[in-house]
Amino acid sequence: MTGRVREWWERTLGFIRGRRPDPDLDAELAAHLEMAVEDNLRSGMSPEESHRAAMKKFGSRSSAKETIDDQRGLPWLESFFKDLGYALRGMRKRPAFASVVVFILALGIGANTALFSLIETVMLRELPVRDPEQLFFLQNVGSKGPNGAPPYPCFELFREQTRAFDGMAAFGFDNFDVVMDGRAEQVSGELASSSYFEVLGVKPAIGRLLTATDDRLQPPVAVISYGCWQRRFGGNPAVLGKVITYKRSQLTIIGVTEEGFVGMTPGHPADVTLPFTVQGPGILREKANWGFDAVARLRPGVSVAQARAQIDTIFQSYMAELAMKEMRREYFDHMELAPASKGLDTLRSRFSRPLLVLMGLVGLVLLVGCTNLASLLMAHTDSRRREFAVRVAIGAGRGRLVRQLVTEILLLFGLGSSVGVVVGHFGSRLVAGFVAVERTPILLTPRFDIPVLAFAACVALLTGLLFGVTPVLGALGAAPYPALHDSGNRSTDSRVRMGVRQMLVITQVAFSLILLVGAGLFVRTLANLDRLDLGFRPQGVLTLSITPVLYMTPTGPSYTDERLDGVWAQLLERIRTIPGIRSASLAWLTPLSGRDRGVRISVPGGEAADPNIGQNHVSDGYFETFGIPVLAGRPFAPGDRVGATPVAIVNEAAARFYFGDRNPIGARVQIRGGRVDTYEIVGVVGNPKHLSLREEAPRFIYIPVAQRRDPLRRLTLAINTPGNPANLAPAVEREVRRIGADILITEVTTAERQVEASLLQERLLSTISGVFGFLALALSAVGMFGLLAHFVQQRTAEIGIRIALGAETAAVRRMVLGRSLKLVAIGIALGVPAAVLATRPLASLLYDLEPSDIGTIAASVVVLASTAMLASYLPARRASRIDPMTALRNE
Amino acid sequence: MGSKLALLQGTLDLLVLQTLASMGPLHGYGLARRIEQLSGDEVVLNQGTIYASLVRLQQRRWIEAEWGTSETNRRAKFYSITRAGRKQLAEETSYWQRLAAVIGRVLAPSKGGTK
Repeated sequence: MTGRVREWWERTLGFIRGRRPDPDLDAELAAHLEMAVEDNLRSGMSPEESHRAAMKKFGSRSSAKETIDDQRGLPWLESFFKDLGYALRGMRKRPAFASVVVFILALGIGANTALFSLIETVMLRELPVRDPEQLFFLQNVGSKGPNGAPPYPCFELFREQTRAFDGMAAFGFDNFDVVMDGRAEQVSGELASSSYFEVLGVKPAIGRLLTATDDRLQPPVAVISYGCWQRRFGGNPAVLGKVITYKRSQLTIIGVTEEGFVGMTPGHPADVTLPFTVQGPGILREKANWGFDAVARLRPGVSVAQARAQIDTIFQSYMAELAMKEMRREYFDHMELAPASKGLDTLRSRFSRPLLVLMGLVGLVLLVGCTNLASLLMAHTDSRRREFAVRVAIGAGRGRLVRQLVTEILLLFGLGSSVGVVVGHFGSRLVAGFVAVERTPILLTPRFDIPVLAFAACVALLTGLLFGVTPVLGALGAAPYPALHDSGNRSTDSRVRMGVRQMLVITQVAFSLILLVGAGLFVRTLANLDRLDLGFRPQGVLTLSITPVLYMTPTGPSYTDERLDGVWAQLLERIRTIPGIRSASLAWLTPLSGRDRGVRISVPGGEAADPNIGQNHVSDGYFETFGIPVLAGRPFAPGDRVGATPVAIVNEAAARFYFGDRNPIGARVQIRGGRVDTYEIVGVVGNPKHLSLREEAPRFIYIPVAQRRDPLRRLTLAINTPGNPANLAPAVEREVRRIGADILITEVTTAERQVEASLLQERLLSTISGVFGFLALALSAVGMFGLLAHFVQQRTAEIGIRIALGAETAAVRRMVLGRSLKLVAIGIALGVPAAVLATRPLASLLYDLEPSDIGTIAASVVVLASTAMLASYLPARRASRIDPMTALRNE
Repeated sequence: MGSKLALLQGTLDLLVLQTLASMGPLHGYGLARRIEQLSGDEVVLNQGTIYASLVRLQQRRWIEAEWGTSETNRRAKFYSITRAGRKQLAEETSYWQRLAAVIGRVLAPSKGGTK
């Protein structure tokens, strides 16, 4: 074996050295011949005969030397490099052709790689933890789908009474308002039971992570992520021992997690992990607190079904004791194990469908582009037949020629794909930036790792073989020989090739139609949503989330509930003095902020069908700030304060639902949820959209901030200004800070931006599909133009004769346009049913629109057909201007 | 047997090794002559092809070469088998013998069977 390895090593060295004359070998071969001649002479041959016999015995000297040279190098690699050099020279000679091919591929493969890298990020990537496939979420599931984990006491029972798991941890994602280094700030983080890192198998970068006794908070500790350590603390190891103030606890940072681990919620990296007991020791005992998730590591050898059965038995008896009738079936029916290897699936469930749709879209674009390429390569090869014939004539074998052509194509495709990977890299960043605009930004980190690069390589290879090698070899035809004496134009081969190119154009038209219909549907969906009545006016509204951070000071808590009421009143008073403000208000919830709060109400005159209603706390000026119309009664006034009659306002949806035709003004309603309070309705307002534009505005009841039912630790300050609201932000922030340095300001944004963020997915889909739809259209036009130009060129003589025989200009044009029209018609005839089929799964992504919307399909057909006609016009005009004399002379 | 035998792929290497092992150091011409004699002139051998085989065997370190003087006082390159070469020869010889035996067995009854 070592002998063979040595041989290859020597040959590689020889290959690197290159071929060079070898006097030693020449001397050896000369000696061989001389000895043979001597022997022959000795056996009695004449000198001439001796020489001839020796030469004959030896065989061809040059071929012997060539075999030896081959043995000393790597001949196939040498010829590959020669081909490559030739291909590079060819590309330099035809820069336009090469750049078109590279451009189309870069775009097609770039878009596909970008999408795949996003799909990998969102749908395929596993958490950077030990053996992620052993991890499962323990979820309660009901008819309304899966939920988080059961309350901690039940979770504790799982831990004590089952043997199916190697470890279990509870955790929950949250934003924490903390004070670090004397500064109030909001950090993203996770609350976790002390077993969390151990179960996941995450190791510290420095310090230590949570251990069993940390739940006791003696002393309270915190762990930060590697990213937070680098960003916030400059990677300084002195971070260990620093103190984070959170609520009533002073938490000491004891460790940093290893690089890469950012928690269990993809897209929402957790900077800080705290023992979940910092929420108060009660969380361990509360029998009906459903606020967190649980992850468990399945013991090897235990099946999912066995583990599920074990925990479900415990869960059922726990629930029986809890005696919770309502919502039981809907949310807490039974336990299930859900694979946790990729983390919580909030991101996946939200973006999977749009991403897959986009993947299909860019796949189609690649196909359209590749049909263009195939057609282009066929025409290109066709035009080079004479060159090939010459090369065959001077002794290149057909195999050699094929190898040469394949090398050329691989070079082009390799170049195009490499550029494509770079394009894809920036493309995926662009899309990732697109989704990072929400209230809680989704941070996607697409990487160009092995799977993505492998995907790009596979796509490149497949397209290269299918749309590069096949058409070129096909166009080369069975025998390149006749090409020398024949110009190759009217041969049957050429007819067949023309037929294939026509089919390619038809395919292209059909694919482009699908893309156009898809783009049209998404663009119209966005337009439909943009046109919607929001129920409020977002223009000119600035919103800021205001949180006076709660922590312990030597004189007691920083902000008591009573002190907070004062802060809110003072805040409004101050803000309203800023010049350029039309109105200012505070609210617990603002439209499209993503927050929600539900209570139950009972109204006089019988039990309502559904007592559930949204509850919002707002200050006076709120409806004015957001331009929500007051339809009856009055808005809140400064007089609605503690001590005055508790008043409430309902929206129109609630008024109609609970009161029907009766006048709700003056009615006294009871609000339940926590405790029971009675409020008198003083007004009815319009229906602002709340969580999403697609949903009908929900029922709402509004209560004055000053007559609050819940403690209001955080409120959104909203300001309406005639100018650009963003310009006002610095002045407003300054004024807020003047009230207290420990008041946290987050989520500074405008209402318009929030509306836009709520249309994120629609905007993403319509932008990308629009761009690619346009691209496909352009590619089809180019394809059609190329085909017809080639057609006219091939028929120059025929058209010349027709013109000579008196054919009119218009008739010649009609002939060319008719041809194009025929292809487009067939393409559309195939494309329409294909589009109807292909867009069917899009239904849930559309708004106020059917997937097979006639208007959209018709518009796409018209756009496609007229573009194709436009592309055919130039070749048609050229055909009609052919000079019969020149045309015939050239023959 | 009317026509001469064409050498199977790789057999020339084996013949060279065997010849060098039994005859001691030889130059290229001597080697070619010797192989022709041993095979009773039954194989087709372009003497030139033997040199590619010699290069290959040297690359594999199974033979080594040295310039010397021939019996007729001519400067010639002499090849001799190495220890690794002998080991390789032993392996390949037993492989060939086994293969030949198997093929012989397989072919023999078919001759009789078809009558």
